[in-house]
Amino acid sequence: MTTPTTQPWDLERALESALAAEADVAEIDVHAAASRLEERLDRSRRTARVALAGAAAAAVVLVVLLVQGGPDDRRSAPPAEDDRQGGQVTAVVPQGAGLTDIGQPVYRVGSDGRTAWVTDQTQRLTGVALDGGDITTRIELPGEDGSAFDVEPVGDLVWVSLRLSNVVVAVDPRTGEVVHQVRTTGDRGPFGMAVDGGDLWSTAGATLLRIDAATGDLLDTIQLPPTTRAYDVAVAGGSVWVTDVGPPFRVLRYQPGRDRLVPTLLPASPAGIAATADAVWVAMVARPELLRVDAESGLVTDRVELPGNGLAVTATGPSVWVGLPEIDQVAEVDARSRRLVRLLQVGSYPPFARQYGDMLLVTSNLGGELVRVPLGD
Amino acid sequence: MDESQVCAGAVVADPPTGDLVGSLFAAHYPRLVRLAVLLVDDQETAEDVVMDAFTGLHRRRLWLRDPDDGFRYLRSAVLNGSRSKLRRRRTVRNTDLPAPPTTTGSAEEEALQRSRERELVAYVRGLPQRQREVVVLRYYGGLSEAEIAAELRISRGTVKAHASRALDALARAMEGGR
Repeated sequence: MTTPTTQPWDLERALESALAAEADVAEIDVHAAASRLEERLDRSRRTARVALAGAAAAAVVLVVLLVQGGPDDRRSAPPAEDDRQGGQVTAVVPQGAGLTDIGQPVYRVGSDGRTAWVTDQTQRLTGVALDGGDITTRIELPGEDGSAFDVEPVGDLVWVSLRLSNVVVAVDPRTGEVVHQVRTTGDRGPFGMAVDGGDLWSTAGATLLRIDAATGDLLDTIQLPPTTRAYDVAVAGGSVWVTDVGPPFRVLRYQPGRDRLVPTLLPASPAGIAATADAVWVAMVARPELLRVDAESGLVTDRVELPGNGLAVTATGPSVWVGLPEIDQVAEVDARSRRLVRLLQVGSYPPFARQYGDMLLVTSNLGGELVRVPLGD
Repeated sequence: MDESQVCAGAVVADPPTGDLVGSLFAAHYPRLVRLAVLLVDDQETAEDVVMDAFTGLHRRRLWLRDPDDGFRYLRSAVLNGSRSKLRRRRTVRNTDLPAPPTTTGSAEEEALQRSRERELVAYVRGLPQRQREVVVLRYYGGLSEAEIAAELRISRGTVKAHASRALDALARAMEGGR
């Protein structure tokens, strides 16, 4: 090699080429890196929230001490219930009430009527007895850690979406074994699931999947527009509705009978979706509103103001439940009156609430707990 | 942004939607890792440095309006982070130059060329940190003297001096290594 002390131009060219070649050797997995970044950011958010909560608690204690002139157990005990109305908190679930410690930040819950099945940030499915709240089952799921997300018990099986592993699985809770496994396309999701008759619908990337919930057969893969980032799914009015976190922000309505896809544009990025008799309800992560989309016309007909940004949405009868994690509340909206009727202060960072009979199951994400809230009149 | 992103402890495969940090991540993460790879000695450390940079950017996201500002912040954070990693590492490792690979004397010109490039990179890694930064920013990053001066917060004259010394040292090393 003629390495040129007297010809810096050649050395400079050699440097450009050598450094570029060296840098190109690095094989960079951007998706994996994005996951790691989110993990870091989540830890950071969590630390910030704990610090904030600690500071707030300290401030409250200080105020109490200043006002009362000293600690007083009777007067500083948390209220069991608060009957304020009119968009205010209508009930405070006391800390520790109906609570089962899952031990990890929890996401979603579904119940078969006897057991509540909870996913958490580890690759685990936890069974909690609805009656009593004892943990009855722990099932380690296959795939990448942190993957288990949505959960739907159907018949004797429990279906779980494993969003990082790109697979939907059915587990037999009696044996803990995975009995069905459906691989999704793309590298995003699956996320939400919805059950309609014997069909299980799930979203993944730009696809909508229809799975036979009993046999595990993949019945149909509906290709959504290529830019779609499908998130949650609900079934209403004979159509399957999918939130697309976009951009563009929208709800996609798939009509199986006509094999047609119709979008409804939204003003902000949607999150959860749930169906009532004649509508779907959509929360938006950065806008404190719940939207009602008419199942017949596909139009946004109502906006219900919320005290915080909503996340997951579920519906039981006319009750639509929205997790408002940023303010540690869940909201109940009455689908008939289209009004906010109840706010529960519950847990720490509750993203998800789902009603079974007269019991509301709430995942307290940061608390790592499942909270069973009896719903009285 | 979705539920799994908002929930603590969650991880997702995509950066947040419509988010400046997310779009900067998608646009610049590989490029910044490649830059960091040249400033530190291994990819794992390089990715760690870039992650730190994005975490720092995320904390400042509310004050960010311009993607260019975001990128400038990231590049500075990568430089500072790389420097910091190397400083810590040097307290525990042998500070000798990484051993350059020996040339094979292969008849195939392409293989020989790559071997020489690796040799040159090995010498770049052995330069004093400031000289190494100047060389990487100039010959990989494509920055001008003025931009390097602003990035490293030194004068243009100092940039020139570092560059000159670095080129001289590299030329001598390559000559001696033959």
